[in-house]
Amino acid sequence: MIIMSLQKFLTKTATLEINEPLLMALELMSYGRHPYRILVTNGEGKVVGIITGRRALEVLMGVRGTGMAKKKGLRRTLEEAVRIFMDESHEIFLEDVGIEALLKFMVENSIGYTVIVDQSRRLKGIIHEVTFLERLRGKRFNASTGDFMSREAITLSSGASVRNGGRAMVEKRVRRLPIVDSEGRVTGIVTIGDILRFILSEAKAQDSLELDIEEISRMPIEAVSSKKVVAARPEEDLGEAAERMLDNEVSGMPVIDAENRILGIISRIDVLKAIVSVVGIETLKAEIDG
Amino acid sequence: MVKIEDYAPIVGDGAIETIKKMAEIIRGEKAVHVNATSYGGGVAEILNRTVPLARALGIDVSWQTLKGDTDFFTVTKKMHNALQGDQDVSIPSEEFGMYLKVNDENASVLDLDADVVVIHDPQPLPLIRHRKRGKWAWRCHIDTSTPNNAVWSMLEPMVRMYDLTIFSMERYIPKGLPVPAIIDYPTIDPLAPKNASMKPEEITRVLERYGVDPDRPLIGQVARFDPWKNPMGAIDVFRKVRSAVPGVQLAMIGAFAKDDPEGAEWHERVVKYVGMDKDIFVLSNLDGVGDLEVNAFQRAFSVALQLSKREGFGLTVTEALWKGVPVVATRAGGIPLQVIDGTTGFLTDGIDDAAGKTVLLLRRPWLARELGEGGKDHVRLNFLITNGLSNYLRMHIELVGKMG
Repeated sequence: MIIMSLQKFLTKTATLEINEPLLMALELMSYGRHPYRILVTNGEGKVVGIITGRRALEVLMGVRGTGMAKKKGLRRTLEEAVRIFMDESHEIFLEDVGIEALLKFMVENSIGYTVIVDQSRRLKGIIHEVTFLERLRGKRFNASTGDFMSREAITLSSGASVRNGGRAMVEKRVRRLPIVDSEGRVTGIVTIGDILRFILSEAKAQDSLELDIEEISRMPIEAVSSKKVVAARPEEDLGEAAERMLDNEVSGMPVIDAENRILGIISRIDVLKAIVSVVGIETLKAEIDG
Repeated sequence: MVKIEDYAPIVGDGAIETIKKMAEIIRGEKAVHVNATSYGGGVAEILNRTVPLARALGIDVSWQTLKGDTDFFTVTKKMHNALQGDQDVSIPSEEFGMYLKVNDENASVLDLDADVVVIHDPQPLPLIRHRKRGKWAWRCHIDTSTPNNAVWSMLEPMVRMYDLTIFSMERYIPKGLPVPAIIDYPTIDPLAPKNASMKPEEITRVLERYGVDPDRPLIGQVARFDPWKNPMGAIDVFRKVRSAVPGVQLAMIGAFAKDDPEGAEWHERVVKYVGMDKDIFVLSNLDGVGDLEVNAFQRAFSVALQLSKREGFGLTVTEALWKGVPVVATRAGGIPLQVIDGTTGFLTDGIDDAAGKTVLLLRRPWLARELGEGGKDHVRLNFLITNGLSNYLRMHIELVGKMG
C-alpha cells in the first residue's frame, strides 16, 4: 500500500488556546471565512479538543443541562475559558496516515473533517471535505443531486424568532434552516453562524453587565437570516452542486423545484459520499491525487 | 490505587492538567451512576474504571447497580432488543408494570441523593420518577437509530423527564427527542488488567491453560453470546478460513452478565453449532476467563473478528486495536469509526468477504503488523479513558452550572 503524502492536502485551521474565553471562539466564528469548528490547543500547540458552532450555540441558548448562561448570565459565560465548553476531538490522525484512509473514514462516518497531528499531538492541519471536492472541480458524474439529497428537510416558518431558530438547530442537530412561507417556498436561510454573529454583536452593543439571552433572542429570524439563498435543483449533476457550495463557501444547501418549493437538503459530505458511491473509491482517489 | 498521573506517559501531561483543572471546579460534588450489572458488557467495563478515577480526583462518585430477578431482566432484555431494532418485540402492560415496580423497589434502597445522577440504559430508566433533587442524565449505550416505535413510545415519556441524554453516536439520537442530547464515544482504559501490557510467557500460560496451541495461528471474537453479535457468523468465517489456512484456531470468548438472560441459551446454541470441532474454543467467565485472560487471548489473536449485526459502539474492537491486532469487522454501530478499511483492519460485506480478508492477513503478517500499528495509534489518539473522563467532567460542570 503506497501512502500518498498528506502535505499537499493539509489546510490551516482556526485554533484557540484552552484558557482563552468562549467569547474568542465566537469572534473567530464570526469573522473571515466563518469557520464552523475551532480546534483547541494547549500552550504547546497540542490538540486537546474542539468547539463547534452548535456547541457554542447550545451554551448560549442554555439548552444543555441547567444552562450555564441562564444561571450565571450570558456575559460571564462568554468570559469563561473554552476548556469547559469544548468537546473531545475523536477524528485525530497522525501525519503519516494515507489520504485514502482519511477519505474512507470521512465517507463511512459522514464526518466532514479530520485533524492531523504529529506523534506528540501537535497540530499539523486539517483535511476536510472541501479538500477533496476542490480537486473534483469540473468533473461530472452522471448522477442527480435529487437522488442523494436528504428528503427530511427541517425548515423554519418566516414568523419565527431567533430563539425558535436557535433551539431548532440545537434540537434537530442541523447547521442551517431554510425559511419557508406558508406555501413551502424558500424565502431565506439562517445558519448557526448567523445566530452566533447576532449574539456577539448584541453582546458588544449592550453595555449592561447582564445580557439577557431571552430578551435578545425574541428578535424575528429575518433580522439575522439571509435572503440570498444558495440552492440546488434536483436534476443538477453532483459535480455542479459541489461547485456551487464551494463557490459560495456554504457547507450545505436546500434543493428546490422550479416554484422555489423545498424538496430536500444536500451537504458537502452528502455529495462526497454520493460521488464515492457512484465512481468508487479507487477512481476517486486517482482523480484526487492527479 | 489508580491515579490520573499514571496516564501521563500515554496521553501526555497536557491532557492530565486539563482533567485536574476541571475536576477542581466540582471537587466535593456528589455524583451517582446506576446501571444493571457490575460485570459483563461495555457499560460495567467503563464504570469499573472511570468511577475510581473520578473519586481519585476528589469527586464523590458512587456506582450502584439495580437488583432484579430473571423475569425483570428478561423484560429489560426485550426492551434492549426492541430499542436496537427488533420490530417483533412487544411488551405487555403487565410486564411493563413489573418493570416499573422493580424500579420503584430499587429506588427505596438506592442512594439517589446527588448533585448529578447518571442512569445507564433502559433497565434503571424509571428511577427518574423518584428524583428528589439534582440534575439527571440518561446515558443510552444502545444503537437506537431504528427503534421499535411501540416500545420506544412506552419509554420516551420517562426519557423526557431527564435534563440531558447521552448517546454513543450522532445517528442514535431518536428523532424528535426534545431533551438536549450529547455524543460521548465510549473509551477503554489502557492500564486496566484487560488492556495493560503482558509478558509473552503470561500469554502463553493462559493459552495453554485452555488447551490452545500457542504455535498455531489463532483468530477470535470477544462478545456476549447474543444474536446481535452474530457468533454463528464468526464460526462460519473461521470454517472458510481454515480451508485456506489449515491449522488455524478460533476462540469465541464471552461473558454472562446478570442482565442478559439470553446469554445461557445462546451459549448453548454456539456450543451446539461448534459440535466436536477441536479447533474452536468457546470460553466464558464460567470457565475462569476474566479480564487478564481476555487480554491474553486478544494479544494472541493474529486477527480479531467482530461480525456483529448491531453494536452500541464496539469496545471489544477498541480493545483489540489497542493491542495492535487488526480487526475484520462488519459496519455495525461505532465500528467504522475504529476500523478504517485497509488502515486499521478491514470492513466486510459478508461471510465470504470476511473470510477472504482474514486469510489475507494470516498470509501476510507484515500487512497485519502495519494495520495493527495503525489501530493502536488510532485508539491512543481518540478512544482512551482520559477522553471519556473529560467528557463526564464537562457534563457535570455544565449540568450544575459551576464555573472555574
